[in-house]
Amino acid sequence: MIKLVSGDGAEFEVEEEVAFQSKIIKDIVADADDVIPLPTVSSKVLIQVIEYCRKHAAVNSFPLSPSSSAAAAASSSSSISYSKPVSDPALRAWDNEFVKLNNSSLFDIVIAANYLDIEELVDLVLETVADRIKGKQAQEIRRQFNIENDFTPEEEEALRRENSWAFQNN
Amino acid sequence: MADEEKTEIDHHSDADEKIPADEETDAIDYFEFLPEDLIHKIFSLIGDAEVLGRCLLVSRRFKSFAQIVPAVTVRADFIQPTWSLTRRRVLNTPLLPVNSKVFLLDRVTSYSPFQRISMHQVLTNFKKIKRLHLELPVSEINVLDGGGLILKWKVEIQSSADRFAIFTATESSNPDDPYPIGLDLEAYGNDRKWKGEAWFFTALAAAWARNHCLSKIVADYPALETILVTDANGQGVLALDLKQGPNVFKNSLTTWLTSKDITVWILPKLKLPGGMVLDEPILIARDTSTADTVDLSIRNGDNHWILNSFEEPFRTAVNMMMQSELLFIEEL
Repeated sequence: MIKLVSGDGAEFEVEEEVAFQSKIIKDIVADADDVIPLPTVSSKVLIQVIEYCRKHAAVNSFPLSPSSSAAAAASSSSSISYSKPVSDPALRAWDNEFVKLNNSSLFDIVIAANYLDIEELVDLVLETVADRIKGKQAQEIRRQFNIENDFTPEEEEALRRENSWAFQNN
Repeated sequence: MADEEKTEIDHHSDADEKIPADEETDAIDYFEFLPEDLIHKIFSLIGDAEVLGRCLLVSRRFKSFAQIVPAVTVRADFIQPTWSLTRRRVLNTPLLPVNSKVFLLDRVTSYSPFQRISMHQVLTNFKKIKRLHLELPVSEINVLDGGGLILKWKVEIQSSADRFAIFTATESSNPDDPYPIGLDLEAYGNDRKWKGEAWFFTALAAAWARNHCLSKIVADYPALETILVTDANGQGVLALDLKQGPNVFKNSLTTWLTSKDITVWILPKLKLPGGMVLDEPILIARDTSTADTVDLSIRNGDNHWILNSFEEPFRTAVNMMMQSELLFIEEL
């Protein structure tokens, strides 16, 4: 077991294979002790990150869950195969549920995941953020991410004119 | 497990106050705290020109990130080279709803019921663009009402070489018979000649037309490394590799159509593992980038460029054809 200590002093004991979803932790454990302080990660965020790692560690190291192995068996008639996380539809569905969070939580998680070097989690969150930008007008994007419009009205008008191609048919 | 986590939260609830202020105030700009390489990645993931175009208006910072994405995808209702407006129409403008977005492959803008957009208006925003992907709404060649005819093609052009792979077949209406209906069994074997079926010329003409339409963009944007033109039907792909310089394909269409080094595979019938049965699948390929003729390099590995030119289930079909004994290879 590895002990992770959040920035606010909370301690979390997790199995190695869960903690090793983070490449940084894997490197630290290789040449140091098993108590790892993570001063920049709050306990709230760490709980969510551990939840993600626990799920992905389980899928990476064990045969598929009954529901997903049924799906895999349906698609390949030969033998039940061990699935990679990305191609496992059950895990993808789980990921989609996992990122149903407000932007505040999502951005906290991606900053922590980036710090801990959990590549799959970083990609998952960035894709979610990109999806939330798609299909929105500039004003909606500002509101969603609390971005201040620092263009003057004249500048904005000029940009809007030059880039009329990018706007829905008015 | 869930219970355990809950007690953790409760136990450390007072520590939660140290979490950055975004829990208390709504005014925090989430992108402010994101490392720049992650922001770059978000904008790269967006890719779509229209979405990026709207991002230009969000804020100065958003604009600066949106402007430097390396790859942009333009989805047009229709694209049109400018010269077809002024001279005789070369490409037919399909029936489009009013307000459709027609992308002009030049700097000129004109007015019409359609929203005509110069590609220059779009591309000028993206200062660091290296890869352009144009997606056409439909393929040029209408084979949908042709009784199950399948046509897939990919043409790749570099400055000094080009190669293409074209696959066609008909979905079988008599899957259990060993030969297609009405096919003369005697025609197979040494006597089966590849007649140069019309779709072969049509596919190359479509690729050539796409390439021709792009010539102005290629000339105006020397920093572009690749241009990909696809269609929403998944029929044809034109890939331009500009890394060796802007000197794109200068050969005429005739050079392709009369080239002597074409390799042809024909089978009377092909049953795919998924259950699909194809009548008389034909694969035609040419590669001027190597001294070898195409067939010599075929059998090593399943990463051959011809295979990678097609999506499933046609990738499998093409692989099976290339692995099977060739019924026919002949110079035109």
